[in-house]
Amino acid sequence: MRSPRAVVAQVLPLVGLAVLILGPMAVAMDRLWAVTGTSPLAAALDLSPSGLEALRTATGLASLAAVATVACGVPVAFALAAMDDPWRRRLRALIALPFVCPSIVAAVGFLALMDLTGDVGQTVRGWTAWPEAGPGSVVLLTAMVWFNLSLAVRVVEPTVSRADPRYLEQLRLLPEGQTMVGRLRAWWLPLLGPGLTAAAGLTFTFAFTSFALVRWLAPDALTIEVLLAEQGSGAGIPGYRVDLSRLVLGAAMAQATVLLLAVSLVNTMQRRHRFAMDAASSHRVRAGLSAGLWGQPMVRWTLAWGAACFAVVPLALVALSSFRVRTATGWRFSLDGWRRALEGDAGGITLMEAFWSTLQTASLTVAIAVPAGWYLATQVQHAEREGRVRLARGLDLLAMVPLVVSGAMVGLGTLLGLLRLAPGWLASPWLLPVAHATLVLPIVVRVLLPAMRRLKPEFEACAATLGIGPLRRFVLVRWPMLRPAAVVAAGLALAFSLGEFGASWILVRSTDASTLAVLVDAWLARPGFDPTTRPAAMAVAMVLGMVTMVLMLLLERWREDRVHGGL
Amino acid sequence: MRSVLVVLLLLCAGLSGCLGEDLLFTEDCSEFEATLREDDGVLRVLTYDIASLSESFLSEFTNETGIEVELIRADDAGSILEQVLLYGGAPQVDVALGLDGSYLPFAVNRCLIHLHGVDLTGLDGAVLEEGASLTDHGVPFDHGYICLNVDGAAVDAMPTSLWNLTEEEWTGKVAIPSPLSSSPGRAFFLATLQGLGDDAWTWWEAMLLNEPIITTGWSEAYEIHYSGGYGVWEEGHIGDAAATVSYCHSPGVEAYYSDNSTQSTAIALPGGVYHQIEYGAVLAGAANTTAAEAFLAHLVSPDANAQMPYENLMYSVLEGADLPETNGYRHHSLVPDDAVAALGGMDVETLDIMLATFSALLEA
Repeated sequence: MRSPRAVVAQVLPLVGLAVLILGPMAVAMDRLWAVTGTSPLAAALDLSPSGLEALRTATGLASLAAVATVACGVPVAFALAAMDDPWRRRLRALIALPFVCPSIVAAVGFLALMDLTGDVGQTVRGWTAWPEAGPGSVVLLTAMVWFNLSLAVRVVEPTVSRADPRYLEQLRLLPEGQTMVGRLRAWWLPLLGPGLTAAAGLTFTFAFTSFALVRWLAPDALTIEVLLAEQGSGAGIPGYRVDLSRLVLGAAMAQATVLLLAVSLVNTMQRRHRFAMDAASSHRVRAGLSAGLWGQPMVRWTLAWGAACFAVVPLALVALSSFRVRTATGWRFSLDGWRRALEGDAGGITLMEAFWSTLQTASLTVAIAVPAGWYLATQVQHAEREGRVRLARGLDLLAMVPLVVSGAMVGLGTLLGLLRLAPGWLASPWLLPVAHATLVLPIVVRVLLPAMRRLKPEFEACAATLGIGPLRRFVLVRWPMLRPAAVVAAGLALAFSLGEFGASWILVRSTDASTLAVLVDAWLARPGFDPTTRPAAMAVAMVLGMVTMVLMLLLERWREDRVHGGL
Repeated sequence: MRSVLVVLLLLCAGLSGCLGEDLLFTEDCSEFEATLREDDGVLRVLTYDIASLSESFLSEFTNETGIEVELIRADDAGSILEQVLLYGGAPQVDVALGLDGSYLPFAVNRCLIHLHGVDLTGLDGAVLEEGASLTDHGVPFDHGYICLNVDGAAVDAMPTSLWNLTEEEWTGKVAIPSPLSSSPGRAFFLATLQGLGDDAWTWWEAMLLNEPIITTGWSEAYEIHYSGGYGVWEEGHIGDAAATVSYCHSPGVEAYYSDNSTQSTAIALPGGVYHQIEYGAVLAGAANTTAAEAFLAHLVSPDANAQMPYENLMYSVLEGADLPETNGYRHHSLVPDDAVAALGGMDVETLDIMLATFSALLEA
């Protein structure tokens, strides 16, 4: 029986975390409810035509993105699995690059791609992928696939590269293994299906809540996230545009519902995606794969290199465009864009100010998210070990809540919540890191928890019997064994914060600070009569892209071994 | 587990239970008392990305007065108003800079603006006259006219009436920033309401049936959709609109940056022209109203304000000021005769209803 003090010590931080995660949402919902006189449920069920259009467009585009990502990711993963190291490792790293790339940099990269490909780019720019999404939506869809391709590759490639081909050979001898459909049903689908569905679900979630990409690549497309971010700031004001408050309330509820379904699907599929077989040797796997289509070097090299180039080209073009300035008759190469970005032009924030502010925000995000995620994951693990299944599930669910609210919603919730409760905090340097940490918490927990589950309790028990106290047990046993996972979690939190756009875009408007991601947007949104305006945006985007890549590279080198988290 | 949930619910309920108290606002400003922002020695200015507030301008002001300035950057004029309204009577900033004649009345109406004591002598007579209903509350610091801009290379004949735009020839070719989210869009909306009178709604119904490109902001309309502007040279240009709503001096700015060449022309169609005046206003509850007024006075001082055409791409409000002649800036700019201004006698409640009506029309 634990003492009441121990229970309070355990429960209080949890309540604090719960209030941090749910508090802003609750206050924002309550305010919108009070302003509109409509309950969230009623607002969601009675969405206006533009709200319904936003829901249809977001769902349609995200579904297309999920299907296209899986369709493109599977062949690339097979091609990679059939390749030898070190090229397999190098190409895989290149393909993974977009996933940590800030979304605004990706948007700028694809804009540059459209521009530099001339008439072809212009024609593609006019194509529509979804009836209500307008021109540019094919480019948007391509960018969404670009972003998430590594999700599908990461799920399929390790599985395929460890699956013993002898199972498949044996299956071919059986009646259901005679046909391609039969092999698909009896082997590939059970093997890859749950993982691919989870990857598709995650792609759907990211695409559904995408803001920067939609804002710049398909400007006529109205999705829920665009609606919340661009029009949400006018919501929650008594007696002013009440129709807008009602729309925002309903849209937020509809978004949470759709995301809840998607995240539940991902969770269910991740639980099923366990690789239960013994891993085969890589030589044997490649021998098996080379018997078929993947034995053709042309096919696998074209696919893998194609995917790697596809990953890198938009980023390279950002760099090129930052030096390209238009003239009355054409183009010239110049450093004027960089000069303007560095000087901050008149009245703006300089590149270096945003650089330091971004690094500060990202560091504080890591400082909040990793301990909070560590604590939450520890509590889940303790509850699991003690057999308290419902408590474990509840805590796990709490950690997942931010996944069903988007960046824009967290930004709006924090803004409306703080305006009501503590408006002075809006100028605090902790505002953005707390919002970022809330958003990245599910990812941190998802990385730490599996590593904690793998940790054998006997080690700590053994140390305890030797009379080693809790603090030294942590330093000597727990931390060294969990450090790789903590580094991965910190890296993901860092990358997330560096590139986070939706919440930052809403929240920095209450402060005198900015982040690089928001600064790129500010330059893009500025009237571009002056020809150095767009190159200045490209210059800031390039710095943001480089900072993210370099930090991820450093972390990758520092990490001692690979950790496979739940994501 | 249950105990955790109960505590959580109680806490969240505690946070939200008292909401609703501030939902009412008084209409008689003498009864309204704003909560004073705590004076931390820094003047906080809420603005959009106004280019004229350069480092040199700010440091010059600080050197002269000893007052530190901190800029809080909203997205646009609409966002400034929304933040001011969200703060209500407990502002977190001292000055709101960039609200125009169609936005400022909403804040004035809620008693959120402090009556300023800035001397407006030396400012343009027409600006002071047309903005007379607001100059007690706001200090005008720049202005410009909203017009239809047409790509001369994309049309056979220039429209002579707004009704031309409802004809088949213009189907899908006019980009209009939404009055619900853009200040030039709202200015154009007010121009039609005042200029077309009873026919305004008939025109909007006909116009919306002619598949115009309604965009969230000015940038999307001008830069991405308009075929006659600098957007042609930029990444992501679509160029499906031969006409858009912009400033009457936008072709002048185009020429200024392109060696006196532009294919864009501004035209003043009856019912389609608005005189936009932008104001700086001291908020009720500002920590230091004297410092705020000194800041606004500095903004309209001759040296600082004369730079508006270069730094903010707007007209200066100084008496006798005009656009520079350099590179055809003035030559390609149109100064219309019959522009309407502010709310034109309409009250904010009526405008709110008009905007809701527009929103409903758009949804239909």
